[in-house]
Amino acid sequence: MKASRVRDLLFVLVLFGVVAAAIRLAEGLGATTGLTDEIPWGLWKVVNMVAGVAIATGGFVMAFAVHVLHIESLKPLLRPALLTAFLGYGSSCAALLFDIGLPHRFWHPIFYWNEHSFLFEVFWCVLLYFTVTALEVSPIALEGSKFKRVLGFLRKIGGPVMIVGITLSTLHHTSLGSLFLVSPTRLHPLWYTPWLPALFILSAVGAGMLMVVLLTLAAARVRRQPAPIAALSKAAGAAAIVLGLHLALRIADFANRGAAGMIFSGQWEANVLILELLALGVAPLAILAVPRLRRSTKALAAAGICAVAGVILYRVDVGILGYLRSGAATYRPSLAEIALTLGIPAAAALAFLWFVTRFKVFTFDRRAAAPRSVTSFEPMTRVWSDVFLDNTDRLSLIAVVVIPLALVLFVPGLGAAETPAAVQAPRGMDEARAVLLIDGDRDGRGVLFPHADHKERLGGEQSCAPCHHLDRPGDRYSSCHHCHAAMDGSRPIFDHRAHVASVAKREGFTGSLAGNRTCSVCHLGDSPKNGEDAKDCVSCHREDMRMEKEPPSRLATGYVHALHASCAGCHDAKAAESGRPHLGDCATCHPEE
Amino acid sequence: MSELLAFARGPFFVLTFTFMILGLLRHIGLRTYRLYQVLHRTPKRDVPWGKIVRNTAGWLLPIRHIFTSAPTMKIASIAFHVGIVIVPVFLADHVFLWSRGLGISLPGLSDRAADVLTLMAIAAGFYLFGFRILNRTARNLSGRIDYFVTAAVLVPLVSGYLASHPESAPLTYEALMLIHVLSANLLFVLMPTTKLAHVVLFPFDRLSPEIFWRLVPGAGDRVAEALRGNRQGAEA
Repeated sequence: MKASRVRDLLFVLVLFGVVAAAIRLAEGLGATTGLTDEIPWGLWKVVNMVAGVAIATGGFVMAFAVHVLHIESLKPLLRPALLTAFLGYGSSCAALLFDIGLPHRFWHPIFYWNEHSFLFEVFWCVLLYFTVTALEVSPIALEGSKFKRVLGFLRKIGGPVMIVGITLSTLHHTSLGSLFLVSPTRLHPLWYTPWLPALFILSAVGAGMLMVVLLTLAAARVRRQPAPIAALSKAAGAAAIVLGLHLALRIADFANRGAAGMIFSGQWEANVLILELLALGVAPLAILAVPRLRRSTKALAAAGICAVAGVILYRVDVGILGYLRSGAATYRPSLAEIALTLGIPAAAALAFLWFVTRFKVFTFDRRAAAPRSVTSFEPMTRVWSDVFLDNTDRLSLIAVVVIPLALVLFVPGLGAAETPAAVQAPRGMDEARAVLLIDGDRDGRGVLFPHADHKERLGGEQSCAPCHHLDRPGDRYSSCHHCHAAMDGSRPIFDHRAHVASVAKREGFTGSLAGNRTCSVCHLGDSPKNGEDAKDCVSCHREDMRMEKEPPSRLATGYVHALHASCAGCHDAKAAESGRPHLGDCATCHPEE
Repeated sequence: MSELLAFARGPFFVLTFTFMILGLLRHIGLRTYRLYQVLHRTPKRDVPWGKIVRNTAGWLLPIRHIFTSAPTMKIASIAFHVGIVIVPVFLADHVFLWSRGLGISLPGLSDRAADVLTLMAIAAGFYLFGFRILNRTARNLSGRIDYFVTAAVLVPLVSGYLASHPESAPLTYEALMLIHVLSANLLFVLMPTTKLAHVVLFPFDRLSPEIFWRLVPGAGDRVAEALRGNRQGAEA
C-alpha cells in the first residue's frame, strides 16, 4: 500500500475517534461507553493507557542501553525509541483525559494529593515521564533551527533528564502492576499474583523494545531504505532474553502458587491465557532464538507483532477479562468506545509519520523535506491548482464523508422521530364534568369549555351529534382525542394491521399466512388495493358504529386544527344570527392570551 | 415499509443532511482559501469590490438580464428557483421539522401559498427539463448528469405535493412519503457533489472571474502559454 493511502486510512480512523470524543464530552461516559459498575475499566483505560504505556517502554530502555550501558550499536534505534515513548505516553494521557469522569479536572491530582492511591503515583509518574519524553524529543525537532540556545540548554540537561526518565518509568510500570493487587478476590486467580509488578515491567520492557524494532522496520519499508539490521537484531535478541525471563517467572509463579493445573482446565479464561503466553512468550522466543531469523526483517516483524499483540492481550486479561467472572457481568464496548480506542493510536501514528518526514529520526533519513511546490497554472482544469496544499482537497472530502457516518453510527436513534405524546382527554373541572379543561398536550395553556351548558343551550341529546360526529366501534359519542390523537399533523384512524388480524379470525381463515387471504373481504375491486376500493366502515360496523357522515379521508386532522374548525366554525356562524359579533373572536375562548 | 420510512426519515436523513451541510461548508472554505491565496500572491490588488458585489447581487434576482436572450427560459428559471428555495424551507410541515430537529423557529407558509408555489416550481421545472432537451444550445451544453440532476430536483417536489393531497394521489401516503424523503435525501447528497453546489458557490462563480482577470498585467499571456502546453513559461 502506498504511504499516502496509509495516511488516508489513519486519517479516517482519527476522524471517527474525534467524533467519538466529541460525543463522549457532550453526552458523558455512561451514555457513550459500555462501562458498568461491575466492569468500570474498559478499552480506553486498559488498552490505550495501561497497554499503551507498556508498548512505549522502548524510550527508557534504549536510553538506558545507549547512555548508561554505552551499547553504541543500538544507537540507530535511540531516536525512534524516544519518539515512540513520547507519542505512546501522549496517547495514553489523551485516552485518560476522556476516561476520567470530569475531563476538565485532569489537573486535580497536581494540587489535591491522595498519597494512599496507586493511581496518584501512576498519575505523577506518567505526567513527569511524559514531560521527560517531550524534553528528550524536542532536541531532534530543534536541530538546525534558529533556536540554538534552547537546543544547547536541552542538550546540557539531557543526561539528568534521561536518568529521571529511567527512574520514573521503572517506578510506574511496577506500580501499574501493583494497581491490580488491590483486588485479590475479584481478579481471576489465573492472573492474580503478588508478582504482578515484576511481571508487568518485564513484559513491558520486552514488548516495548520489539515495538521500536517494528516501527523501524515499517519506516524503512515505507521509505524503501535498508533497515539497520545489526541494531535491530541486537535489540530483538535483548528483548527475547527479557521476554524469556518473563515467561520463566510466569511459569515459576504458577508452580509456586500451585495453580499450574488451572492452565489446562478448559475454562475460557485459561484458553485466553494460553493464547497470551504463546503470543507474548513462546512465539517470539522461538523465532528470535534462531540467529538466522534474527537477521531476517520478516521474522523480526513477525516476532514483534506477536509480542506487541501479546502484551496488549496480557493487559486486557488483567484489566478487563479477568474481572468478568467475579463481576458476573459482560462488557460490550460501544462503537464510539472502539472508535476512540483506534483513533488515538491512529493520531499517534500520523504524528509519527509527520515527525519522521520532517526531522532526522532514522539513520536512513535525509535531513530536509522537499520544498513546497510553487504556484503554477494547470491548463483547462483548475486555474491555480497548486495554490493549495496538495492534501486539503482530498482530506476535507474524507472528513465530509466520515463525520456524518460516525455521528449516525455512534448516536443510535439520532434523528429518529420521537412519537409525539398522545393527546390527553379533557379534564373535568367539577364532579359532574360540567366544565372541561381542554388542554391536549397539558402545557398549561388550555381552554375552559362549559360542556353541560353547551348541551343544554343547543338542545339536549339532539345537540351531541354535530360535534361528536363519529363513534369508535362499540363506543357512544367518542371524545375528540380518540381519533384526533396528535396535536398537530394527521393521524390515520384506520388500523390496517389490526383489521387484517381480526378479519382473518372472523372469516375463519387459518394457516401461517391467514392474513394474506383477507384482502378481498374489504377490497372489492381487482386493483389497486388502497383506500379507494375498500368497503365503507359502516358496511361492517353498522351495528356498533354511529357515523353522521362519511369522513372525507381515513386521516384525522390534528387535535388543534379539529377543535378550532369545530368550535370556531359554529361560533362564527352563530355570531351573526345571535347578535354577538365577538362570539367568533379568539378571546372568546382564549381570554388570557 | 414503515421501518424503511422510519430509517429514511431518521438516521439516513441525518447522514445525508450532515453530509450536505459539511460538504457545502467545505466548498465555501476551499473557495475562500483559494481566493485568499490568489490575492495574497498577487502584487497588484486593486480589485473593484463594490462593482463585483453589485454585479453578483444583480444576478441573485436577474430581472435586468431577462430580456437579453431566451426570456421564457429565464422567467421559468426564476419561478423554479423561487419555488424550490421558499417551499422546502417555509412549508408548514417542514417548519415543524426545523423546530423539532434543530430548535429553529421559522414562520410558516399557508397551505394555499405553498400549493401555488409548488405547482409553479413543478411547471417551471418541467419546462426547463424540456428546454434542455429541445433547445439546441442547451442540449449541447448538457451532459447526462445535468438531466439527472434536473429530474432529481423535481421528484421531491411532485411527491411532496401529492403527499400533501393524499385524497387525490395515485399512491398510498406512506409510499409517497418514502419517495419524497428518499429523493430529498438523494438531493442532499447531490448538493455538494454536483453542479447543485451553486447554492453556495454562486457568489464565488461570479467573483472568481472578476478577480482572476484583473490580477497581474500580462497574466493572459501566461494563460495562453499554459494552454499551448508550454508549462515552463507558465511557471516562470
